[in-house]
Order: sequence, then structure tokens, then C-alpha cells
Amino acid sequence: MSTMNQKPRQITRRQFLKGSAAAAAFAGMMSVAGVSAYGDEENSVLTAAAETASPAEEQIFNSPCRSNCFQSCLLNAHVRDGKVVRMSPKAYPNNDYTGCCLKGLTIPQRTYSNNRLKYPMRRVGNRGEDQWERISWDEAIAEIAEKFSAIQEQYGNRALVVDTGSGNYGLVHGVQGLVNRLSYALGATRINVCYDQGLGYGTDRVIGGGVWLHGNETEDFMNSKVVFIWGSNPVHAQPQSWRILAKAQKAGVKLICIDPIRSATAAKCDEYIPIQPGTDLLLVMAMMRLAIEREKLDLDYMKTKSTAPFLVRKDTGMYMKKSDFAELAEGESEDFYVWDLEKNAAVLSSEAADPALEGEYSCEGIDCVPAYVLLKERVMETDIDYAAEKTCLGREKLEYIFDTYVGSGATGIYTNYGIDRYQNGHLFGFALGCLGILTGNIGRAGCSLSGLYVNSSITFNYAGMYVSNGVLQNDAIPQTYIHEVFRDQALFGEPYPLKAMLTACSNSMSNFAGQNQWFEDILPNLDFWVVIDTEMTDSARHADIVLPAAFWLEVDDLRSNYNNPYLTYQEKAIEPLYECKSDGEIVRLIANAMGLGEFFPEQDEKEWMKLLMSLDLFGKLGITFDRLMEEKVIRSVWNGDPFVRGESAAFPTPLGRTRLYCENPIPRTNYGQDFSEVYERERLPYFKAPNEAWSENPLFEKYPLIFIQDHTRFRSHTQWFNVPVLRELDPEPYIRINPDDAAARGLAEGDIGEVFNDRGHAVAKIRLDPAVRPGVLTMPKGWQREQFIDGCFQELTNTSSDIMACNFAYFDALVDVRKYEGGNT
Amino acid sequence: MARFGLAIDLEACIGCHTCSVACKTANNLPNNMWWCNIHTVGGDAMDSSEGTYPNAKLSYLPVNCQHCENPACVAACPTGASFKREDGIVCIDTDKCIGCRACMAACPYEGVRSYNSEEPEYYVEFALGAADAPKHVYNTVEKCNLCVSRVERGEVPYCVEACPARARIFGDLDDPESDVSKAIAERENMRLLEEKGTEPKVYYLV
Repeated sequence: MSTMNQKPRQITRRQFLKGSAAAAAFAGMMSVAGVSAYGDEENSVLTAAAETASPAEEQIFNSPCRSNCFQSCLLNAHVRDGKVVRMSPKAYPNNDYTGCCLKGLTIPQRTYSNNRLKYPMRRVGNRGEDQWERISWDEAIAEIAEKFSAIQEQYGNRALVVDTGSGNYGLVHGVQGLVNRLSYALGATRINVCYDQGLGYGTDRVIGGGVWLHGNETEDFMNSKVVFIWGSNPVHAQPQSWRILAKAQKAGVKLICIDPIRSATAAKCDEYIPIQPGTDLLLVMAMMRLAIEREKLDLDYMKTKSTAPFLVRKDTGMYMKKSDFAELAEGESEDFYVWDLEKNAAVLSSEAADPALEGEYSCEGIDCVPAYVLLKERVMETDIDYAAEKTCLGREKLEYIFDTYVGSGATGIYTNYGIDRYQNGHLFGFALGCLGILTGNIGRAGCSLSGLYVNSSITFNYAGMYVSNGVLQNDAIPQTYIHEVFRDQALFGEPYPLKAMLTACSNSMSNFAGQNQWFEDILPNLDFWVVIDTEMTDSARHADIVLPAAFWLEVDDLRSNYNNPYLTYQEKAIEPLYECKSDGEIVRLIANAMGLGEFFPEQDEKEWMKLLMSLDLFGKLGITFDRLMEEKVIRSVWNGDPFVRGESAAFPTPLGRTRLYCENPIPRTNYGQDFSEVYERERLPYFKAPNEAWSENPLFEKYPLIFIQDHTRFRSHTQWFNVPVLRELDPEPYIRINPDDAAARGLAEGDIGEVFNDRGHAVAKIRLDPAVRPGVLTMPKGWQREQFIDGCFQELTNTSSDIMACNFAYFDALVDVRKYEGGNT
Repeated sequence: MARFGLAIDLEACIGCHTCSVACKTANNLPNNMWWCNIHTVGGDAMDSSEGTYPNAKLSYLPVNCQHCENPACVAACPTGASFKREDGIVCIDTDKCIGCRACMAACPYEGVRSYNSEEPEYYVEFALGAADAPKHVYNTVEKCNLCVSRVERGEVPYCVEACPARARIFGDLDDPESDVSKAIAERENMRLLEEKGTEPKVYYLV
């Protein structure tokens, strides 16, 4: 019976207290009386809902959302008659982290969407024609094993490529999961992931920890006085992080948005500062110069917690170390020399009373200077007026940004992968870290270096998970370069045949920059491509065999969250649909058919979870598999609440010091490229202009618009590209442009526009938006090729990347737009 | 007797549509039907701003049934299908609705009602949403009912539960201690089309 047919019914406190379920009902009453769903006192409503609201036949399963979107929302999967019927947000122990977005709520719609791959299929038409024949799993696995084996036999193990992305953050079935075990066992070539890598590659030079560990726990923004939301739009892209930023703002933290786009976040911030795309690094360089010129230096921090006083040898460019002069005894740790002004001699940092930051010295006949001298020299190359001009900030605004940054007491930076999308993105991360060192805005509460918090307290037993038959050969070629190896079947002149590929958890054709390289270089040379996915993506559409994977709720899995501090358990909520199989099971079948069966036992996925959690540190933290099964969500951070990088745990650098100077800058991934030309320069931050999106680039005359991809609320990367409920709200791709730029081209709202450059084009409706900076054009990312009138947004980007960062510079691209005249141009 | 209403904090609202989708999915609304809409206050298209760069303006206005104290729909309904419960929630009795759409014409708040001009259709062949999701019937009008069945169980509406910005506050307007009453008392607020005299019970905190 419809609830709408019910007659009005009196509700009183008294009634709610009657009956046997009084306690639970009272909790419910509290909500009616006026506790909002997320009141600070307890999680009353959610608890009450779980206890009283679920009709008997409904089961609820713990489900962390697992698309790669910076958030790790905890959801309840509501299951009726073996089918998931709805999702609802589930409370985290710290309620500030509780919440989900519209995408997470449509998991059932995505689970049962027509877009699901239902059966193994073999391509019968040309690639991309979408002509398939249904085949059995036995047939599919036999063919895959036969072709993979034959290719490996003929061309060597490396001729098989195993390609994974970030499509599923399950530790068993996702990108860190069993597919890696297979790739190692087969000695296949891997493709090194080249998105989201620049920022962290830069901060790693300063604070260590690799490419992911730069931001404090999200809650720490509450400890800031000012937060610069820099090249990031959390209101659309990370709403759960925004909730904490908004709470901070309400508590008096000033939010300043620096962005070329007057985004939805800019609209919410206390201030919006427009900036020319790709020039953020120049701003940071100028801020460093101002810090030095105006003596706004935190000398105490620099001397005691950074490498600023460490002597750098002029002969080698390396830090002068204890081990330069004496062999370290076993267990003895490295130390570094500084010039002690008190003793007027070079002494180890641990023994220095007053380390010098300036001057030139000689030690054991070796000329040396404190690292700060080198940084200062480099920073003083920056012309502040040039920076004021190129950033389009003007001198006054630039100085205001500096004054605010340095004068707040605790300035946090919320930056993610907007600025990372230019070829100078890693230098932005590097410079930002150095600016933090100079001003003491680093390594303490309120001074997060980015908006990404990845839990570094736990590591999993990946060795046990990945290594099976002892083969550990896995050459990796970066995504930015893989098309050239496919094209030439050679790497730097040496034969390197690539013939077959297995893709899992990745829509590579849509997410790699320079989509037309697939058509020109990769696909014509790829004899056999197997794609494991849940949906018919651009990649699946061009494969030879597609294998239908079980979706998130159809498996048991484990997730280590980011942007909140929890380890979460995915409870299998429903059986795999149609003929779908879990990623882990598919990998096992392939391995078995290729003679590796003994290394891929047929076992419950919980056994893999136990293996992943089998390291001693889990015991030390009191985290056990049984506890996870019971609690389903466990805070897995061993120090700090919130966790502050460098304070809750020392930076993973020698002596825990932040580094102002990178003695040995090596590429993020080394595939044999020659980086000797930039090596010296890369030891310190410097302004490198964007590669293409730069006013001094001659191409700017031809293509005067900088192309930025929006991360809208409707997709994360390409996931959720075809969920019907979401498409009711966001039906099609569009081209977003400033009304002045549109008028200059005779374009009006709703016109069909063609964005183009020498690499390709994308055809979609024009949307006029004065939030877009003149000279910039944006398109939302994630739409698939068949959803465009013609072309695709990813045809416009390019594979060129910084030789050190090896990172797709998606926004470092120039385009123009014109009215579409129809037909395939 | 409670008198239920809703406060929506426009400062906190980020236009994310999570409320809309929570409502749509839990109530298993038919294709292309939305009881809770988020309007962009700015340009013509969703999420587009108005004004000129860099001073463009953008904000959002969520609008669902305003659950008026003095509902025009109830006055206009010839069959008594539209009615106001004693707790103040305005509902439509699907069994009594004849699809005349007098309520749609009378309601000053455009777009909060949907008329099933055809047999409702769904993307998925079995019923999604809550077990007690309302039925959706050909030739009837439907709209937000503040999730009455949840309210009767002492829970908040789906939209309130799901809002990641904590912008929606539900409760008893007659209880001065309720969060919703306190929010309205503490914050400057407005109601939509007050001049129509319908006394809406959705308050917008500005």
C-alpha cells in the first residue's frame, strides 16, 4: 500500500515511547524533535535508521565506494530478494567524514545498467564497430591463454603488456590486486601510470614518501588559519573534503581560491584570485623571492628541521656526508655536515650549535656552500615583475597573496591535480615545499601541503600477494611513451616487440592523453587485446575479447581509504550478475590455463585479504582480520588525530628533515630516457614555462585557447559515464567558453561547436559561462567517444610530457573552436 | 502535535544534487521524474554563472514541495486527493487522484509536481528503492511527501540524510528546541513566494 494513501496520523512523543522498541524508537524521536541527520552529538539518526527502519526482508551490507575520486565514501548497500535496491550513506566513527555524493547513490543503477558487460565476447567487426559474438568462458580463456602463450613464446615474455589504471580501489580485485600477481608471474611489460604523478613527484623531493604522501589528514584543515584552494574545485570534485573545508570556514578559517576558472568553489570561498593557467609555479617562485628579500624566513625551522644548512659539495653537487670521510659502521646512520659558526668548522648536523645558512666554506679541501645559498641563488633569478605580468595578478595582488600566506600563522594548501596537468606541475610541488621550508609553513598542524591524504600508517603484504613463481621481471614503460614503443616495436632503437595486452581496472583509451595515438600507433600494432571491465568503455569497444567483471558489490574486498583514515571492508552484497566473474577469479582462470595454476589457488577472496593483512604492524596496531569482519571499518592511523605529516610521524627523509635541495634528481620512472640536460637544473625549483599552453608559444597564434578538462560531479575519470539517472541531469558533453570568446567566433548558447587543434577534434554543444576565463575553453572529462557528436575531448590532448615527471600534461594544450558544419571533418 | 518543516542552508548548499538523487533512488521515481530539483542561480544551464569574469556569480536553490501551511493545491483539488496531514506534511492520495492537474495549476511553485501522462517507466525491470517506496500510477500527480513513512518511524527524509553539505535540516517547527526551529531563529531566512499567502514550511537560510 502506498504510504501516500495513509491518513494523517498523530505523532507524539508519548506514542514514540510506547511499546517494546522504546529505546530505539526514542533515538528516532530525537531526530524528529530536531537532531539533524548528522548532528554533532552521536550519529543518532543513522543508528536509529539501521535499527528500526529496515524492513525485515532488507539486508544491509558495508560498502566503501571505490572509484578513484579522492573520496572514500562509506555506504550501506540495501539488498532485497538478492538484489541491491538502494544505497545510503553510512556513518564513519568520525562523523565529519560521513557522507556520499550522487554517484555513490546510483551504484544500483550502474550495477543493473544496460551498459554492463554480461558475457565474454569476441570482436567480429572492425575495432570500434561494436560487432561482437558471445562466447563461453571456456572458449574465451582458452583463446586468451593460447594467444598470450604463443606471443610470449615467439616474441618474449615482454611482448605481453599488462595495463592497469585506477578503476577499482579494491585490494583483491582492484588495481593493487591479483592482476599484479599474474603480470609478475608472466614477466609481462607493465605500463607505468602517468596521471596524477607530477605534484607528488615534486613534493617527494622535499618531504619524501613518494608521489602520494603529501597532504595531512583532511580534518587538519580545521587547524589552518588560511587555506589556499589552489587549482582545485572540491565543491564539484571532492564534496566530502569540501564539507570539512566549509566547516573550517564557518569556524573562521579564511578560504582563498586561486584558479583560472571562477569555479563553484571560488563562489564559496572568502576570496577568489584569478590567475593565468600554467603560471602557478611562477607565483610560488616569486613568493620565495619575496620571503628572502623581505626576510620573512623561519630561520629556526630552516636550521633545525630542513637541509638548508647542509653543506653541498661544489665538486659533485651532493650533500657532504659523514660517509664521505668515514665508512659507516653497521647500523650507524648517515649524518650531514653543516658549517658551525660557533666552532667555525664543518661539523655533523647533530653536533652543530649554530649552523650557517650563508657563506662559502672549504672542508677537507672541498669547496662547499649551505644548500640555502644555492636555493637563494636560484630563487633570485625570478623577476617579480615578470611573474606579476605573466600570472596576470599584478604586483599588488601577488604581494597580497604572499603577505597572506606568510602572515596567517598556519597556511594550508588545498591543491590536487589541476596544476599537475601542466609540464611544470612537478616543479610546482617542489617549489611549494621549498616555500613551506622558508616560511615554516610545513610539517605542522594546519599546514597541509595538498588536498590529498593517503594513509601511510599501514602497508599491506604486497610481496606475498604479488610474488608467486619467483619471476619478478616487470619492465615498465610509461603511458606517455607506450605508443611510440608500439609504433616502432622498439625502445630507443632496441627491438621491443609489444603484441598483446591485458587491460584491467582501466579505461586506458579514454584516460591516456592524445587519444588518436591509439588509432595511429597502438591499435594497428596490437595483435590481441583483452579488456576486463564491467562496462562497454572506449577501451572495451576496441578490444578483441572483453571479459565481464563483477562490479563492486558482487565481491568481498578490502579498501584502504584516502582522504579519510579508515580501512574498510566491502561485504559481498549480491551474487555476480549474468556471467560476470570477479577480477581475481578471471585472473586465476587465465593463470591456470597458462600453466600457472599452482600459484593461483582457488580460494575464498577472504584468504587473500588475510594474506594482505598478515604483516606484523597490523598486530601492533591491534588490527586483525577478525576485527575487520566484525567492525567493517577501522581507523588505521597509528599516530595523530588528525594525522599531520612530519609531526605525527617524521618525514621519511634522512634525519626526518625537509629538503631544500635535491642532490640527485632522477626521473619519476626511468625507462632509459636521457635527462642529462636538465639534471643540474632540476636540483632546485625553477620556472619552466608550460610546454604548449603558453602565450610565447608560436602555436598560440593559431590556437589561442587553453583547453582545461573539468572534473564535474557526474563522473570520476570516465566512471559513471552512462548511468541513466545521472544522464537525466547531465545528458551530454558540452563545450564551456566565456561569452566574449564565443561572440568573437559567432557562437551562441546551444550552437554545435567543434573544438580542434592539429591532433584532433571534439564536437558538442556550446555552453556560455562567464566563470570561464577569457582565453580558456573547458570540457567535462569522462564522456566516451560515442557520446560526442564527433571526435572526443581526449583527442585534443597530447602525449608530450616532462622528461623527469613523465606525467600527462592534459591542460598543457591549445585549441580553437568554431561552429560545426556537420559531417566527419 | 508536531508541525514538520524543512530548513535549507543556502550558504552550505553546493548544488551537488545528492539530495535529488537520494530522493529519486529511494522513492524509486519513474524515469525523468524528480521531486527535488536543484536550480542554478546564475546562467541558463546547470552550473553556469552569470555576470562577467572574474566577478561572475553562482549559487544554487533546491526546490521541492514547500509543504504549505495554507496549500493552494489542497484548495484546488476536486477530489480531496491533495491533503494536508495533521503534522503539516502535504500529500497526494494516489487512489483519489484523477489526474486533473488542478493542483499543478494552483501551486505557485513551478516544477515541484510531476504528472504521469503515461504508464511510469523505469530503467531497471524490478523495483529499486526502499521497500515502502510510494507507488507511481498512470494519470496521477505526484510530488515530495517528505518521506512520510520515514518520518512516521522517527527518521528524517532521504534528502536530509544524504546531504553531504549538511544543508538540509528537518524537524518540528513547533518545537523551539528542534534544530530546524533553532536554525530558523538564528539565521536570516526567506521563504519562496511569500506574497502568495500559502505559508510555505520550507525555510531558506541565506
